[in-house]
Amino acid sequence: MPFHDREILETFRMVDAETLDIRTTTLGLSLRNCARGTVRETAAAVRERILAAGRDLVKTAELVEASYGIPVINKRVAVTPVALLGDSVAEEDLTPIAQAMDEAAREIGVDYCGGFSALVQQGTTLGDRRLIASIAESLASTERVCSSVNVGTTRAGINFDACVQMAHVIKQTAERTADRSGIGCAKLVVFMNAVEDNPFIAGAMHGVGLPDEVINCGVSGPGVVRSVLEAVGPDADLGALAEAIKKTAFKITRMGELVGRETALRLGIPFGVVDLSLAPTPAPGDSIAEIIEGFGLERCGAPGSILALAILNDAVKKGGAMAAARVGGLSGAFIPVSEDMGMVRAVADGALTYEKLEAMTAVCSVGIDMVAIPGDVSEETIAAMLGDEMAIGMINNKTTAVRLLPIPGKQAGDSVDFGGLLGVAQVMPVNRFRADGLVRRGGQVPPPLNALTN
Amino acid sequence: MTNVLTTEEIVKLERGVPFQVPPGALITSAARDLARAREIELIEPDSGGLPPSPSTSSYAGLPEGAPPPSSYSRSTNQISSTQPRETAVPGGSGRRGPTPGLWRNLVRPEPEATPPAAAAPPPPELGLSALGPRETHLDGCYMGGGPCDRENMVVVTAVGRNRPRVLAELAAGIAELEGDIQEISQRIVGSHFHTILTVDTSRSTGDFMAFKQSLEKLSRPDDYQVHVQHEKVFKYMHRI
Repeated sequence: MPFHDREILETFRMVDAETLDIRTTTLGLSLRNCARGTVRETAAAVRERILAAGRDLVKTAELVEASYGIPVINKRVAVTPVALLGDSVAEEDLTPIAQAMDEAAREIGVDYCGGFSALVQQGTTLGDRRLIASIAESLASTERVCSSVNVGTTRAGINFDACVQMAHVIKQTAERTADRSGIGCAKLVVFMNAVEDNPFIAGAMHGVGLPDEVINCGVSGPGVVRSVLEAVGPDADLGALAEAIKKTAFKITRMGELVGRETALRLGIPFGVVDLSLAPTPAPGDSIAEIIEGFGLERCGAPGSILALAILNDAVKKGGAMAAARVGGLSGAFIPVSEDMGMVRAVADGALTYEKLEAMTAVCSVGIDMVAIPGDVSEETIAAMLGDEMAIGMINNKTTAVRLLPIPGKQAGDSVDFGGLLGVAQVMPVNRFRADGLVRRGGQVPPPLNALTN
Repeated sequence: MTNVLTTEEIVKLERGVPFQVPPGALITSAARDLARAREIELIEPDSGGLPPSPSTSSYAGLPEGAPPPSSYSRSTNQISSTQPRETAVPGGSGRRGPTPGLWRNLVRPEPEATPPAAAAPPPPELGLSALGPRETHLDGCYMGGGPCDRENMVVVTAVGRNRPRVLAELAAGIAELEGDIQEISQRIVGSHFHTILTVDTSRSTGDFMAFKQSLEKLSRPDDYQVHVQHEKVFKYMHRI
């Protein structure tokens, strides 16, 4: 099967100059056999389970990376929502389980372990309540554990009481990690329509409908898409742009399919899904905002940004869906603000406001992601912000998530450097008018009419 | 009681003294690396190693003479799998990767170390098939996930400043590794060149990583860079 020189050199250019990589190879792991009578025994079982199943993950992923020359940036573990283990233990505090996850993650060399999670869209069980109460301490006392709570689905509506509770947990987590600029909140997501097979942190979890173990893969490659837009030129119409992005998304996703499938084969674990999300990093050129600007906008956030993002998101899905046997996870364009230098610049220049970002989340894959807000924003306001974003997801039948970072002691316009993949957070102003009356009502938001699809 | 050996246990062992791994215990990759760094030989029950000397440290948490910890039950975690994972990855992580010393610096193996070509069919671990296990359920799937007749094809790309003898060096390097060049393409653009060779490595006696590492050693910062990749990368990306 001869390959044209152009094809071979195109692949090299994508990897070398345009930072094509596989963002994450994530081992999904069921912990359903780890529930014990005490939290100490449960934590020990969790630790042993992760160590036993994940011991070869990093080495195998590195071997695949070397074989194919496609960098695999992160190796991660996602586990069964830990709240499911929390019902049977005698103690209230589940932090030792998070600490066991952290210890095991460090031992096997993965950078994050997701799944300190609960699904509470229609109410909470004892385990859910224990988990939610343990989040702040768990995130403060661990490095690699990520937590998520699903507070609503299109079919169930929104558990607004849980939104209010999570607003409290977000503030509490920021305060507990105030000495590190509230970094705990970077590991905490509130979801609407959470997916079971998401390989991306911080929302990764191993859903209850999945097998014992599975390998899922998340692709990346904003730099490659950006280069394609440049190559197409300023005179191509939007249809031509969408077509060019679609073709590129196909190629990017094929690499995810190859790497994920090969890693799974070598580990002897079933291969699950490829998540098509274009995930940015703070590295120069690895930016979703720059792709949006590549459509012909002065800055991301300018009028036209939602249209550009919608075209991008749709084209990525169309190209990617053809390239992978099974597509899953979040699959779309991520717009985490602090992790994308183009977004950071747009916020600093005043082009991108919180409200515009909120509107953009109606057409992107995730939601309000890595958005720093002043540390003194009240719990009630955060609860209302969560409610708004959850409503967008519920009505549009899509996943939305909120990863807000109230930075203790910081005001709008300040910036905080988290370093690494988490990037630089530019504190965004929040509407000063209050929603306390609505938040006090609490309750369960009924599912919308479009939930009645049977 | 744990039955996974981690760095925590290895740290407690005496440096340089072999350690008898209890039957059924699993060893993390990090623990293996640490043991290697501390020159502690891990004697595994099925490795055929010598029993530990009397001075060998006991397994952490176990009194002398106590029965070994029970095997971690894979069946509770892998309902769908009828085989333990250890059989899926021949040799485990410790035996993957290049053979130490083999192919280092592109030196042809000593004649006595090389089996005569006609003596016997190559052992199954030769060539790229040694990369890992293959599962039949993926055979022939449209994305080429399973074995195929081009399983041992690699693409060697060299890019850099043009000068005489570049192609000769690449070809000699490939020949040293018993690679069989199937296709060559070279272009000169100004003072630079790129060369693309498709190579059949089925007769190479090292594994893919050994081949890759040996050939990529020809790279020099001011001269040219060599990359070796599976052909599968290009097939996945450019063919439906």
